[in-house]
Amino acid sequence: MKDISHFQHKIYNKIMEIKGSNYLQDKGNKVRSPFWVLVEKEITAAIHSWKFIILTTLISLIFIASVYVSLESLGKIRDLVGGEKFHLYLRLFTASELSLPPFYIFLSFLSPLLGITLGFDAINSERSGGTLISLLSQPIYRDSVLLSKFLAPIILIAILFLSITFLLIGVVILLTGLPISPAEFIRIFLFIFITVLYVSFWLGFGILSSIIFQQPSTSALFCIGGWLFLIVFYPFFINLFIGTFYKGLMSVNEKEFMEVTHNILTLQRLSPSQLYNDATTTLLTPTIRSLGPLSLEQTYGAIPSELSIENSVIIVFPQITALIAVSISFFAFCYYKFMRQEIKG
Amino acid sequence: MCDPVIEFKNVTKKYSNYIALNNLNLSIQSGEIFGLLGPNGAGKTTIILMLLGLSECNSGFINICGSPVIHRSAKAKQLIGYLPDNVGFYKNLTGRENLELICKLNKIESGLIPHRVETLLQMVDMEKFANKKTSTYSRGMKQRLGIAQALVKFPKILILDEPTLGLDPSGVQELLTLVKTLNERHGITIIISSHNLEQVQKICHRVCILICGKIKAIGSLETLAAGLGANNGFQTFIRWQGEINIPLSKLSKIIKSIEPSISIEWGEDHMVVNSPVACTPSIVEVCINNKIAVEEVRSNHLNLSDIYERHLPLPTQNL
Repeated sequence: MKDISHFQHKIYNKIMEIKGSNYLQDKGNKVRSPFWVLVEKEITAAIHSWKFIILTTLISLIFIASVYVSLESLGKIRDLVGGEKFHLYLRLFTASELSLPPFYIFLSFLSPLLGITLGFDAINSERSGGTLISLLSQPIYRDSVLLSKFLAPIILIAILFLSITFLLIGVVILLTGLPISPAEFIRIFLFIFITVLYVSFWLGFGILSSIIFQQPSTSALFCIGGWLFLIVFYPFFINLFIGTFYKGLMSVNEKEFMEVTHNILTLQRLSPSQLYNDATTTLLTPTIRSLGPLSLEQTYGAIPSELSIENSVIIVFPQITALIAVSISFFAFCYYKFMRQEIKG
Repeated sequence: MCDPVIEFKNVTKKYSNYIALNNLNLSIQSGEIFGLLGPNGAGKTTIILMLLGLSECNSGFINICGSPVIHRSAKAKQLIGYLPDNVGFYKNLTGRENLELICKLNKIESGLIPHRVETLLQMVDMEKFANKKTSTYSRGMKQRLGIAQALVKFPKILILDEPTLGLDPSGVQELLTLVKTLNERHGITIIISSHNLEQVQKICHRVCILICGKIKAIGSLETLAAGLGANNGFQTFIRWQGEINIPLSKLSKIIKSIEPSISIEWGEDHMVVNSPVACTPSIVEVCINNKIAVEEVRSNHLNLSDIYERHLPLPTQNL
């Protein structure tokens, strides 16, 4: 703190200069909104974090492996489908060898981890590092901090998925010379949109956990517990529950069987992972005409053709709206908790 | 400048069953250095957090420059620079980048940021370490950078929570000088929350002693001392060894030049000086300058530490 008076004098001369120049009203894009400054900070921090680098590398490697396996198996599938319409680019996401599941199945496991990784220490690490109080003592709104914690990872994930998808399309065009049809492109784009929505849900879950728990480790454990419950244990409990109530499932008539299956599906759809699986499977497989059990009467007379994009979207519309609703609900709850929380120095 | 710059009116704050602030009325004038004192849990940090709009009161209201803090906290925060007691920085960024981020959050024009950051870094003597990641900083370096961060927006009010924590003695002295300069030259109102009473006494115009969310005492050091019954003038007792080589009449004249209304009672090896103002250090200085071997100095002058101790509740004897 040398020559204090000299520097103080310089600083306050500068204040007068700045105040005189009316700089805050400058429309020359030189002063940015603090919210976008925070978003930029979050994106930079995430890109440089090891957890993000590791998960992105993992997803990219799985993507390359899945695409390689898909390309290898495409010949066999081509022979099987014969003269039917062959969606090369959609098959890249859904085709698989027995040794490696298709990419969209991998994503249904890895997307939650990506969301959790980017959210579990969003608030509590700032609090324990002493940066939250410094940040909130600046002239910014408290909700800007939370919104930037939510928006920045979503932007990052959307860019990541779009990049690897466009890269894939480009590589396959180079290898095969076959162009992508607009319908395939829209379906793939919708698939990415739903995946980002799904990650948003888990991101919201992670951020909520980071608001509730003071320690990042506790928050991470809670998130992993939630992930395991919804992905592994919840479907298991549903089957156990249904099995208890409908013991003689195999002996019931068709109507009762349909009812039981419908109930199982309804309960399973309380889990966002089931909603995601339903939506992505339908969008990436145009031949899927229904997401529930069909009776013989219902299938009688149906034309075994593919669905248009509009029809596929109509089928998964409830799933998409439910995913949007659950993501917004989690964010709203995060908002409520964070805005009412005491910030201590 | 508005006067008073900060006003708390009947403010009560409760954390479930614990009352952090109890019907607090406090007003801080523009351009003063104000000390917030009190034991842990007295409500000092709660007051600071309320000023920043980070904590809401259960009743009462708080005004900054005449505007209520609640619902206009972003505006209030434009006026306040804050150094928390546990200041933190983004570890993946350098000191310079951390300051640049704060500049951007304060809507400082991008062209002005490098110059402002440089000036602030020079002011806190951190230019050498500015390009190092803050994860490598010591406590003192973080404190210096925190002070620069608090000054980024050129605040009208500067709140320093334990500002000298972790600073070396020369750093402490430089910080106190900086605080005085900011106040005297630029009229910044400064609020200091500290447990270091000696430092607070050196620079604060007024202090407030908080106990259990209530103001126990408020005012200048003289006012507080007067409130404790030390208002019947200041008495200084000085005893010396050996002979005095200067005539008593001459010494008396020199001492009276400090304060004309001083009265002196002479003894064989001592003197008692009665004065309406505190002037013990000046009298001792006169004695030393005249080669008097001072052996003992006593004074009824209360310092901040004495005042603080007298206001503190006695600890419960349960051992």
